[in-house]
Amino acid sequence: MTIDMLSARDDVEKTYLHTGLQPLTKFCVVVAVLVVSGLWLDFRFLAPLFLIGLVLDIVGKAPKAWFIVMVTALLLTWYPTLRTTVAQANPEYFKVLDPTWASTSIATINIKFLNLGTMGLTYGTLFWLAGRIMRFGTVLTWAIFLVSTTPMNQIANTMYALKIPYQIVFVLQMTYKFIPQMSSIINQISEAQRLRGWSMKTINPKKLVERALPIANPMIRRTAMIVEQVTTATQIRGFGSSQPTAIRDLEMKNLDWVIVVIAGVFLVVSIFGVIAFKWGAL
Amino acid sequence: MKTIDFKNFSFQYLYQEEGENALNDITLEIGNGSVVGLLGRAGSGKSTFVKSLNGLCPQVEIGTQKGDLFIEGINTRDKEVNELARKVGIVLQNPEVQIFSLTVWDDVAFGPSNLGMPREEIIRRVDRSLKALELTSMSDRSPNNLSGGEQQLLAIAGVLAMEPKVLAFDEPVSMLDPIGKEQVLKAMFSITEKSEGVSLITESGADIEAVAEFIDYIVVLDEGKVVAKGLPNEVLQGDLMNNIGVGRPQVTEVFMEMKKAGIDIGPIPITLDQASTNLRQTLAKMRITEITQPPIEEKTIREFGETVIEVKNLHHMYKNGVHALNGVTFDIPKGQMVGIIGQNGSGKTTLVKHLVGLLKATNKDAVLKIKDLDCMSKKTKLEDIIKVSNYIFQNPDDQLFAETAIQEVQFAPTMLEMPADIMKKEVREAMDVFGLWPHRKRYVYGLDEDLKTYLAIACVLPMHPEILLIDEPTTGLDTKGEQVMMDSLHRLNDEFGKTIVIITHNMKTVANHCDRAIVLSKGNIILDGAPKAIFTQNEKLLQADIYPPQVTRLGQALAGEFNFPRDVLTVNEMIELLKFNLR
Repeated sequence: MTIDMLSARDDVEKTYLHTGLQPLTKFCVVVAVLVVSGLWLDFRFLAPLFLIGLVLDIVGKAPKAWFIVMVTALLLTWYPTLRTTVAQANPEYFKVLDPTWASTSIATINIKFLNLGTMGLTYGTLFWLAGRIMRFGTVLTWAIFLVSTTPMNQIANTMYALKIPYQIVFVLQMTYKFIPQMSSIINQISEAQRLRGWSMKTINPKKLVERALPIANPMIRRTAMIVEQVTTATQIRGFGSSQPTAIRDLEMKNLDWVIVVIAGVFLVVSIFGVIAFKWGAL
Repeated sequence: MKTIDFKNFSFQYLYQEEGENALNDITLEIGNGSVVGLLGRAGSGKSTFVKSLNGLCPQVEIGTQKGDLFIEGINTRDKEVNELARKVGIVLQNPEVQIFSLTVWDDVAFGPSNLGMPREEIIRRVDRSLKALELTSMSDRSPNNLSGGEQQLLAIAGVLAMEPKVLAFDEPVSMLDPIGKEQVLKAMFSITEKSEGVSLITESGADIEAVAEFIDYIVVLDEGKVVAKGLPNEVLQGDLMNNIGVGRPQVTEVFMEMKKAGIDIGPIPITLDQASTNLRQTLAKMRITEITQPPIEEKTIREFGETVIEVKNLHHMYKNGVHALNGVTFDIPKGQMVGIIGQNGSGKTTLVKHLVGLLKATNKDAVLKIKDLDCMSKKTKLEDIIKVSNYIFQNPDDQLFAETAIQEVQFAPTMLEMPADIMKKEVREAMDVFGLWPHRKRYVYGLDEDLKTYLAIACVLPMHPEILLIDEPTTGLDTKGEQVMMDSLHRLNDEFGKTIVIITHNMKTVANHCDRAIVLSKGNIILDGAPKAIFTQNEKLLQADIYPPQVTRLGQALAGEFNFPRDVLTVNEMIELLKFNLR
């Protein structure tokens, strides 16, 4: 997911998920789901959460490229995933699944690459691996739901309405606005220097530092100029002269309250289930 | 009580040396209801003047102030900048840095909200400002998705919503295409006409024609001093404007030169309407019914060499789905000087980036050849292309990084591992083209804007690219700076045989200096030919948000009645034509 994609969210077709629900409602639901998915290990419990998240992403018209990023991110974690997966063969780890069945070896293989060593695959490790992937998918689909259906201006308005100090909200807003701009400036500087024969191709650390200068110097200067101009422009617009007036209230509709209550109940019941009945454990 | 009252006001920035002032002993009063043009060269003190109005100088931009400045009787020394924001609204050159919020509506509300106004009042002001600038239909849109002109209108709306007594615009149209300029200037004029306060607009020459249409008082600054003030007709008619390097509107220039030649063609105008009315009356009075062309002199017809750029069916689709180039086809012969024009976002920069290998066509059947290099081939590397064709970005700050000017020019030859003796010669030669050798030991960031722009071009010359692609070479330069730039480019073209392609919003530059103009609109070439032919195609030009230069439009305004040629491109051509017919 590129920064530009994040900033281009205003172009997409708006659905009810964008406009019908308060950001606070969506935030509460996503937090509840993330906490619960952190407690559960069994993919059979996590799968419904993942699927609901996926449906919300599709309904909310989340960009397809974000899913590619999601799968790429998952694939990039193959090494720690594999290392921790094979460490799950100890029968004592299994509290719900039959420990003997769970630790029954399906296959072993000796991999010298990266000192992976002898790897054993058991039914339990397969369950654990499936759960890990499902949790990863759940977290990402729900995060995509929140980000793709909640424009930054809605988040900012909610924060103002919640009386979060305006300086903090302003800094967040500015960061969101200027990160894409900075990214394009860096790109432009790098292009300008490449046209003068510049390249980073060297392994000599001294040369590496020297060759970073044609990028770093203009970048620092441009950043300083932008900061200076933005400071000037904020002063011109009276920023800091008094406590700003919140231009919108937090308008929670009945549906928002219902969803927040359902999310809260889901969270409490799930935690109780984990403690009392080992829900979601392996 | 005057709205703006400077009393022996001087300002010296912290970095300036003893005796060097950005503003020097200014005593000036400006009353209500004026639209003031603040004219002067780049570096003459215009921005400092504007920033002093709300105390940005010295409170934010640190320096020493002498004397006083009163805004509606309030001494700017006694108030913080954000308090003076209630009295003085400033619109800066770059709209991007003045937009803070994530929707148009919220951004206009930003100022009044910061002033702690009641919500109902904020809503009233925002709606009123959006309406005044015709932005109401865009109120829910993200500012990121607005055009440059619309963003500048939004910046103005944001300031307007604070209902200041003084509205100051610091070169607000220099980055816009001609119709964007007109859109912003018309909006400015409309709001200032209704306002009881003072509006002030700074200008260094490139857009003097557009600005002259709207102002009713002029203050001229030079080296931090007020060197003239008065009604536009009085100030613009003198030689001062040319002497200080700002220049005059093209129509004023024509009438002045005719007068100097002993042919009075009526009162000196400063706007296109005045000029066409005055000239029409003169021609009618002299019973001239048809303007005839002077006999065509044997002019040296510029001949060009073999094709050095060949582009066929070039498409470029960005990853976000924007189809920036839509099957562009053209070729450029060696030694031609080409201007690429079009509205903001028409694909000009995307096109030029292909000509230097920074972007690749997104269709496989495109043809893109730079001399002998096939840029569609994967074997062709950027390192090879830049020795044949090179591109200079609009903002010199994107590339300058070294400590001194000479080190900056030495960078490219060093990267190409050029032998020391050859490098020395090449660097000297490159710096001499723009007269930079005397400045070679100067600190790069301490150079004036014009010198930095020249330096950015000089930096690529030691690589000997046969083709130079330059993005907005005259933006930010005053008339004198522009002249130096274009003279240097002509030298590169004539003496060194370089093919020069410039991207520009300045139609005067194209008319005065280019052999050919390519007009882009929405990724398509809609016109391609000699400027004389291009600037008569007004309907097509409008598709690209372009107007011909003012002097061309003067001829076109009279074409119907007097068979006036529609393709007069330059002030000199117009003068020759009028002399021939009116002697």
